Amino acid sequence: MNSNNLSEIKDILFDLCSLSGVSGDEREVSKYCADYLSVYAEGNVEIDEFNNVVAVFGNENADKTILLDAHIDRIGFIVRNIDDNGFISVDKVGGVDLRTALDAPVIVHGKENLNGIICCMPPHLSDGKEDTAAEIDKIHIDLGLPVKRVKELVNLGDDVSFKAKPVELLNNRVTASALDNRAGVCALLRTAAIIGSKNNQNKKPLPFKVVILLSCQEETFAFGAKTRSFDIAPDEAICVDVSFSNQPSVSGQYSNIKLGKGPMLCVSPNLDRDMYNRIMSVAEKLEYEYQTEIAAGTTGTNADYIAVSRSGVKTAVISVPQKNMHTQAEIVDLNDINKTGKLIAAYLCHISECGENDYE
Amino acid sequence: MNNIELLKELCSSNGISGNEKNIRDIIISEIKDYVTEYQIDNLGNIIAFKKGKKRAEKKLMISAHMDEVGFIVTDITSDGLIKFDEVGGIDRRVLLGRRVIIENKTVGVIGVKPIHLCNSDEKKKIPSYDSMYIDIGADSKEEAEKFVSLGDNIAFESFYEDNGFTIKSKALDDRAGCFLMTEMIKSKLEYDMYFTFVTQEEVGLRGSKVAAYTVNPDFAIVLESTTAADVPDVSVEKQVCSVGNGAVIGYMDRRTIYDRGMIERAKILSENNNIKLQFKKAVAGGNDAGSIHESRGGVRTLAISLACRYLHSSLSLIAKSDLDDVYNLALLLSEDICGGRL
Repeated sequence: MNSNNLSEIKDILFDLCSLSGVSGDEREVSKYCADYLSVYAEGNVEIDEFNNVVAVFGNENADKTILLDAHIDRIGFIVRNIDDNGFISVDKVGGVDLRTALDAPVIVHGKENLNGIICCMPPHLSDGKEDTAAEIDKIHIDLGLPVKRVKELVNLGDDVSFKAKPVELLNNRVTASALDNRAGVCALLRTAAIIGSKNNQNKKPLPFKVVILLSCQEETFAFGAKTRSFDIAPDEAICVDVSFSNQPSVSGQYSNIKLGKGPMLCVSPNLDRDMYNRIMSVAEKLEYEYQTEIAAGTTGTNADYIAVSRSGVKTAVISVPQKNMHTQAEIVDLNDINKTGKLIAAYLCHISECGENDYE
Repeated sequence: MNNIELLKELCSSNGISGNEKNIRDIIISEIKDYVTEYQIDNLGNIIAFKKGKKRAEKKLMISAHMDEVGFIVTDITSDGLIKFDEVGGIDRRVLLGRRVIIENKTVGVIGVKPIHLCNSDEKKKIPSYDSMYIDIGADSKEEAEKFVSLGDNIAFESFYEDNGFTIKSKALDDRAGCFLMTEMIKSKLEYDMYFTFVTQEEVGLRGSKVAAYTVNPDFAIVLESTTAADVPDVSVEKQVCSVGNGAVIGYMDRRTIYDRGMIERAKILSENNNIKLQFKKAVAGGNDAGSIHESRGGVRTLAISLACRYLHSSLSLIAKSDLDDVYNLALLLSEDICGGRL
């Protein structure tokens, strides 16, 4: 990947956001990422039985292991009932924002992908309830198909995701659903392309073991990160996710975070301050833009679980700033994804004491 | 239907009330070789006349509206965000997170405060129009102004799908009616007829008012899309009408008491010709019939409608079989009217 090639990042991100992968069924997006990582990883790339992608880089026999994690699942719904007229009832998978639900286009991942609409009441029946968002037990999906056909194509337990084809806005910003956390995944794919030497004999593999984990089921119970960090048993971990940027009615620290101004480095009681300092000093030295985020308790990311895996893991969180999180209208800046991927690669090269030019 | 692809083209194009040019252009290029004559009036209505095999005993005007609901730019903030208001009635609950397109070129999304940062009240509350905004990715007013101006039209951006049973799209209200009229115009008509594709229905039935004055008809048939509430959690008596159950006729809505003679004839025609017909179970809504039937000294008027779920939103739904029923009933009724049999 050319370091200045935002259009390639965009293409990958658009692919990632177009793929399914509601928590618990990440197969489609995992396959895409495993194929991508296989081009660069010196070691093994596998998709495990839970749909986690695990890719090994650098010297896999080294004593030191660094884990790079980004969750690969997306929020959505799960089918819980099909009524006699073919309307589908669902429950939430992850923190879906129901203020955006009514009339939303969705894809029901049945035997095939089916376009649906979340039912909404006509105005004459809504009687002054325009101020109030729908509740989950009133959410029904209309496929516009006869009930017999619906029951042939859809099973209880099938996933549903919001349909919002990725598009580019001004200033290298993009909007899509599932940018949480396909933006973070994309950043780690970028890192992989920089550090991986399998496709380039002029590059030196990193002297320690780096495991990229694209983890399943973060939006529900962080199952993937909890269990795979146990297996991988890293010495250090960096967790890549999205976090809040400024936007109307957002106050406090996030009102100072801007899209396009680089990744957010998190300071939190449950994260390792030395790692934060080292990553920050690499950014300072290379004049990479970054922003600081404070999480006063836990971080709300996989880091909360990775840090307390086994006998404890020094952990950092680096986030891509995002607007409208957990909606179909999520927005990120492609530059921030690029900068996140580059900063992580630069950090790895820095602690391996390889030359500065090796990670450009 | 012969050219169902045209419905896709009509629905996928944007024509907010007061700015129906895109739709008008498509319709004119579609009908110009089939009509005897047409004119575009001062409000942008298309008034078309087509000679049939016979001279009509009574003058009939068939009408559908070209405009769709949408939004208009009212302000651009110093942060480069676009403020807007509704054009036509839109339930605020179908707005947050939606994709929109401004003047057919600039894509944006309606912003939502992240739910993680909301207090328990905010998590359930739909904001008012004055606190909603569209984000186009601009960082400043100056930057946004390169792409967006006050008064620009904003349309929903979504998708069109025909799955063989139903059609999902924005703007089926009332591009479906426009589409059926183009199909009629392309058919071999028994009698002379007027067809009006009208503007500004969604902001007060305005285009049809002047079109009816100009045509000065004895009878009018309005082809519309009407609310179907046949969805879960709505009791059967409140469902108004049902998608797939045929053409919809009401006795009365909030603007019109419909012509009984036309209703009775529609019933007979549907029974004799195997056309599915259903009656609206609510006195609700209104359509161009409201202004047409009051034109000049009065016009005998009937609306024949398509049952449409989720109208006035980014994604509505109709049944393909209903298109056939509405078309067939409208054509047969028009022949009875023009032949002087009513």
